[in-house]
Amino acid sequence: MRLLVLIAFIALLITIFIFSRLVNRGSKLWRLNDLNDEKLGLLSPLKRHYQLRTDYSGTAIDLPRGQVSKAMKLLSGTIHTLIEKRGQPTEAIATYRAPEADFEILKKIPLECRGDFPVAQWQVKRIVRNTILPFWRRDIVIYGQNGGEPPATNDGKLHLVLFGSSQKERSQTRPLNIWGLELPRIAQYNSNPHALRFVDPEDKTCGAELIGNNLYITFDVLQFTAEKTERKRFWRKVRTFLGGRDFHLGLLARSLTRITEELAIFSKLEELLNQSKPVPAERLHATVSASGFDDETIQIGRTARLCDLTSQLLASQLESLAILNGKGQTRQIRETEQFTIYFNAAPKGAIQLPAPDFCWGMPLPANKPILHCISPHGLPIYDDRGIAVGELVGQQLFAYPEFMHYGTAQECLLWANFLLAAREVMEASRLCPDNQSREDYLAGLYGKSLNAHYQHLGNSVSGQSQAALDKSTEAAFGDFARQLRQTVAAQKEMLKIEQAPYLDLGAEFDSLVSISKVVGVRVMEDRLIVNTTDLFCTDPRTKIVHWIGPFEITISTNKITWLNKAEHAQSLKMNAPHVNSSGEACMGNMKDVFSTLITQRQFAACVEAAIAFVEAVNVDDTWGKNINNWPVANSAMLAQNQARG
Amino acid sequence: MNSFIMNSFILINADQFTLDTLAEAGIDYYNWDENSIIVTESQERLSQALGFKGLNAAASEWDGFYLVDLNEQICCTPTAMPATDSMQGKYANTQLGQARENYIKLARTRMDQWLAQTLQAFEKTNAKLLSLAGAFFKRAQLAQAKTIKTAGADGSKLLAEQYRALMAIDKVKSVRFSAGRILIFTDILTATAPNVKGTRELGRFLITVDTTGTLDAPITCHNLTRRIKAWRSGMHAPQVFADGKLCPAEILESIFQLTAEQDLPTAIELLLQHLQVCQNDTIGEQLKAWPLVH
Repeated sequence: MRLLVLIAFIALLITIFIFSRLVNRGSKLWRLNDLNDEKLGLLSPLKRHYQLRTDYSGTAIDLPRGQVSKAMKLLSGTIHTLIEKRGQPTEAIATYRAPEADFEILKKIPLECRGDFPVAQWQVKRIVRNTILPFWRRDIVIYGQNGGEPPATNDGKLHLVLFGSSQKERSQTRPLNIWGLELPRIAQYNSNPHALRFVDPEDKTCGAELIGNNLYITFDVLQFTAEKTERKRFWRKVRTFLGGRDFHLGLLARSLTRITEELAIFSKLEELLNQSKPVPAERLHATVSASGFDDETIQIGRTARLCDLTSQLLASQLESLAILNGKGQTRQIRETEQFTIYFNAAPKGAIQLPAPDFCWGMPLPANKPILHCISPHGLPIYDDRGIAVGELVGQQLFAYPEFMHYGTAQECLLWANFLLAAREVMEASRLCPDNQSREDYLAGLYGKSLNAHYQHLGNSVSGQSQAALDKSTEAAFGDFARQLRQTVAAQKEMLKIEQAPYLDLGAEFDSLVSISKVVGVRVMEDRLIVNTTDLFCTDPRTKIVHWIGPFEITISTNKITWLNKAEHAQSLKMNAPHVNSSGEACMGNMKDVFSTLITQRQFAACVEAAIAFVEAVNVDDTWGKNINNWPVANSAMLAQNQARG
Repeated sequence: MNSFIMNSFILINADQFTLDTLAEAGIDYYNWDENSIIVTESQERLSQALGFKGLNAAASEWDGFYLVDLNEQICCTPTAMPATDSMQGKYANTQLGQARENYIKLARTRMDQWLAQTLQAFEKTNAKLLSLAGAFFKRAQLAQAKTIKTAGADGSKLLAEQYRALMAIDKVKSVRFSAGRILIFTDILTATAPNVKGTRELGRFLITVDTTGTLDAPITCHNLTRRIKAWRSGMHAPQVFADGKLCPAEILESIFQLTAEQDLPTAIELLLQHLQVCQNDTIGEQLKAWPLVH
């Protein structure tokens, strides 16, 4: 009987396990985050299945759900939870085991759990072993609820407190998001401003702090008090014990992954500092003062780290130095005794350029617009891509962007890189006492930075020959030159109209009506319409004066038309000897004259020319020779015309 | 937003020229941040004072406050202004007088339409020119990058020589490189034009040469001393528009060709000459708006 109950119980557990896996299978496409080149190398058999996504937060892949278990096998990874986002691939939060050889060593390092845990301890240990242990490589003690306090002195072990702070003070606010994950309603401790803080730069939430060897996760990462009843607590433990997924295990995995990344940056920083010239101990911390940084919790840690790094990297070269927070403004250049660093500032007269996203391969704190300038006054300080990030003007060092805002590891590394670049420029400045040597140094710097830029640009055309590039440049130049000529002509045309003497429109009207044969002037839409009296034309062969008729001359923006109002014009199917039935003329040489007069708004002259055009005939012309078909003017008409002058 | 109602506008990229123009128009302003000012005025009056065709304003995160980026506004073209009319009385109360009035009214409308058409045609062809200039410059820069890459370590030396040659040009004060741009700062430039009396002071200039082929214009010129309302609003020089782009001119062909042939110093020398010696044309005449050198 007992055996049967035991078998039934085990069957029940297996069913729960299978069910928990089945109910949360996510969308068809899954996303795996936190991958590096080494892991992508392991995933090469699945290369055709996944899509790579890289941004500043790291490398990720999207792959079909059916391929995930294969990927996990190749990576020796474990998925701790799945995050569903509408319209996006299901995010699988996973940790990955260290490579086999390393894993054997890591396995021997003891991990100790103290206190109560709401989830299976082996799962917590596995996450720690996959994330922080490969970096730390020393004994780790993990503190759960009622696990006691970590020691105040350094005992060589890492003490990982899963919910706590050296401040012991609960925060009034609750974090909503951290490291890209939406949080349920969970509690948080205030973080210690003097600790090394691990801040999520996007949500600005401080998720952990390190004091000595004590690492505190300041929010309730495992949600120790989520389950109110014993029974719920028991089932959560059982579920995770059997390898079931849990959101908070995923949250712990994500938190420890990010913390490890930050710690790795700090170790890079240490390396960078070790490579730089050592500073005598007595000069450390004694020479740097900082002002202009608001005395807020977040600023204390930043200022301390800013001063500390500055002192470590620049104190060997200077007696004393001050850091002033320029808060994104420009500053007047002054002759000063003391060496001053203007943080997040530029000298007066600097011009602004678009801010770069990255410096030395790291994203800049993007909490507010970054002042990114360059002035003609100083010696520029460049990052590794040839972007000026600061300048040295005499005893003043300007750092354009706000390199450090939260005092995170990455920001410290950015600041250290800036100071090292600045130090080189400071040394060069000492070696260039006169103008000539300064100019030589600037020429070298210009050559070096522009060369770096061209080397980078040249990578995109590495497959093309110089001849092919030159040829395509030449072709593009031809297109440009042709278009330039057209544009210059269009500009001339525009200026001609803009500058034309059109302002005195009254005078324009007066000059039009003062033409003896004009009887009416009006404007319709974009046309100027002028009515004339009867117009006559003499046949040079016979000297007979022919009656052409009264006209309506229409001048529009680019053409002129003649409309004969006399009835006989219709039967002749011509408006004038040189004007066809549509009112368009065979103008010959006169075409340019009319066009120029219209463009220059010389309308009176244009109308006079239009009248003269009707009253003249070229009998050698096909149209003109038919002048004899037009009615002959009678004496009364001619007398009237003569009277009009 | 009703254009006649007073609103608060945050004018982004307000330079000294804008501040002077507002002061001249009697519009009060307050500093908002390093590059912006705040003005409480009707949209209509503000756009008129600044010489813009309307005002392209976006709502801000604060109620009743609108963001106006001055670099993105369209300048007005000169419009026909009523002339002093000495003949008006002669035709008063006659049929011809009525016809004359109608003529003036309609002719003005027609004139504006004509002007708008020509302007549109120019803008269209100029936009195409800029795109072709960008395409050409990008290719030229890639060809140059290839040359420099092939030169290897000598590339830096070649470019250092370019720096020295640029610095040797008269009026060039300093040369810097940053963020894919070669920045050439000049001393105060002066200019002359055949139809303009005396020598005029343009101001200190910043010439920017794009080395990436990705910017709006391959070469831009910004006057760091003053900007003048000449044939367009906020011009940096008679031949340079408010956005720093050069007016189309035949000489650009030579300047661009020299740049493509990797002879930047001669190109810059030619450009400075182009700025300092205006032609005997409508653009050159605009130099009269710049102050005389005493």
